[in-house]
Amino acid sequence: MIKYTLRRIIQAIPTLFGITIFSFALMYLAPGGPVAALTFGPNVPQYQKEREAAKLGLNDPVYIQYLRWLLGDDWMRWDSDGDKVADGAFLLALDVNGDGEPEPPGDRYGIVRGDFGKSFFYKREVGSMIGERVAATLELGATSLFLGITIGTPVGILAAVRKKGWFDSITRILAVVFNAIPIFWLGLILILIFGSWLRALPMGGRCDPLILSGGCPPMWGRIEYLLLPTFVLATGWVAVLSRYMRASMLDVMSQDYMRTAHSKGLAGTVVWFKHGARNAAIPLATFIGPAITGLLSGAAITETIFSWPGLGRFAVGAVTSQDYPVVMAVVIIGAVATIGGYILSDILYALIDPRIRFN
Amino acid sequence: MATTVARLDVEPKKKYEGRSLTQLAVSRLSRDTLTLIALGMIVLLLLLAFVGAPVISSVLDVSPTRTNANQTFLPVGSYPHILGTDDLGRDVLSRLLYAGQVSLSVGVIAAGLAVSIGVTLGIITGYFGGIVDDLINWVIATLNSIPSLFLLLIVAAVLRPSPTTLIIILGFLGWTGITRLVRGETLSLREREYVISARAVGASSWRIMFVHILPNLVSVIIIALALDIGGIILTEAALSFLGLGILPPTPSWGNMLSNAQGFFTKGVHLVIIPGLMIFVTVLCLYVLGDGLRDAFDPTAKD
Repeated sequence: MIKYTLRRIIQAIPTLFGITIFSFALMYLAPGGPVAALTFGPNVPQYQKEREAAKLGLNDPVYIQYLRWLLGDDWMRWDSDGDKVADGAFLLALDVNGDGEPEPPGDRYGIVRGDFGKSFFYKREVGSMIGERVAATLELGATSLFLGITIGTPVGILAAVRKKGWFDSITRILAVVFNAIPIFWLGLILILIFGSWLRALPMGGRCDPLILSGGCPPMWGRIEYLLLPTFVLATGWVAVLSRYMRASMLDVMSQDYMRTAHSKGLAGTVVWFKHGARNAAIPLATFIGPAITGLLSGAAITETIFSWPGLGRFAVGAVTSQDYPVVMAVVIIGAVATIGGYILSDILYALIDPRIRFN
Repeated sequence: MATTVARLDVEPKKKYEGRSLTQLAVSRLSRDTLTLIALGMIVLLLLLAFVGAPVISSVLDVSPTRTNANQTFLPVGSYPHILGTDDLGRDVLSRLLYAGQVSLSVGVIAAGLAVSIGVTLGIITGYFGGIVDDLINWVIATLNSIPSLFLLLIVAAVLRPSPTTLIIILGFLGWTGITRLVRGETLSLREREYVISARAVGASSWRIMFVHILPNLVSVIIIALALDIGGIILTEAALSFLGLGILPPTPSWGNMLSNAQGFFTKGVHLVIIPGLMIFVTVLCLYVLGDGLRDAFDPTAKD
């Protein structure tokens, strides 16, 4: 078990490595790069641009810049080109300029140790800004996923049990319809009906903006704010999960143990739910990885429409304002969460399914 | 009397005998009303966008770009602005149809690109296996670990958005799913007898891959294409809605909706109509894809 877990984690390392390269390359290749994003405006003089570039260490070779971003520069003790940014990868303190004192190390810790640098736009630590927004995204994501599972699973089971019946047909049509509805349009229409016409629900936000300090009250104190965004996200989950569950249940229903249970004379509901549904739910464990990417992608749109102060909206804003440290941090955190999700689902799958053995 | 009995005996056999999978699929499709309606709707939408747009603009003398400060927020049913006007007094119907040209072309071309890349890579990885397979699987695992919309947003922000770059982005980032599908199919196809006999008579690997294996993937490819076009139209709309896809003044269904966001109370039709177009188009494509899957299903019984 532990061996299997370790192997899966080791297998994930090349993927993580690929993601850091990809995300670094994007910033490096962007037209104008970070300097263009920092010194926005036509009137910025050339010498100031050069000073910004030097401050970011952009005159160093690419691999040094990548290493500095990935691992930090607090262990780098050598500034070879005099741009005041350490670039010599030496673990020992060296006296380069010969004044008898070792040069000071850099102050970046690198993304490996959770230092994502400072936001270009807000001039604040990216790590703490993300920390402030994670809870809002998790709240929305977890609520909608929970609703999606609690509604989607029984719907899928019923559709499979009554295959080709009216319930199956209706849920099949609804699943295709909700897959095809653009979620931003659904969101806008809900805001139009419930926020603008009926004035029954707030048009956006996480809680009353008049609550100035101390943050939002707990979830149950502001369900009105959660309702619409959760509905938008949960319908998608119900559509996907009910189809998935139906297919899985149909697969289980053709198994020998189901026929045995029926022929023993057990009641239909006992067979369907005790023998069938429990086995059919096993493949749901493989859903965790894709669910995390889906949640984050969905959050980007839903949070933007409903002005929900979470990671998705933060990322969309950062992309528009070319705030590269934020964009890269969100990509890396999202990717780590996804890979973690995939590993977790593999392990869970192996744990729940008695047919899988580790040796 | 005797002939009737004989015919009854032969009829059910003839249903499958001597008919290829494609012939069976066509005959199944011709009886599937829902799929035919979806197909008809798609043809209608294409005709409206590519033929209807210029015709309607010239007949009603409306233009998708001409602004008119005196005729803003006209409701649906005005003349000559049948679907009303937007915040700048531009005609909604002609904007909608020209936007359809953009959204449909981006969807079709990008899906074609994604499917071509996916099929090629899928056949190669499935057929050769080994290090090529590992390498491409690594790329797929990496791309799939980044939330897809974030990935698209970032690439769209780095490259300057235009219909062409959007096609390239959506095409080059959308091939992972079909690659996996085709790889799996190829893994089983390469063990078939006709592949083994082709190899025995000395056919090259490329010949086997593209002459013997590819034709057997046609149904997989057609289904993937229909579903991918729908998915890509949705994604393009989402990107344009967030301001990183098709940029104004070029109309697209996504950026029309994004523009309408600010005029909730003044022009409800501006919110409803573009979204409805996306919804209907994607719905028809999904229904068509599902119908094709059922029609091409070799295990299905009539």
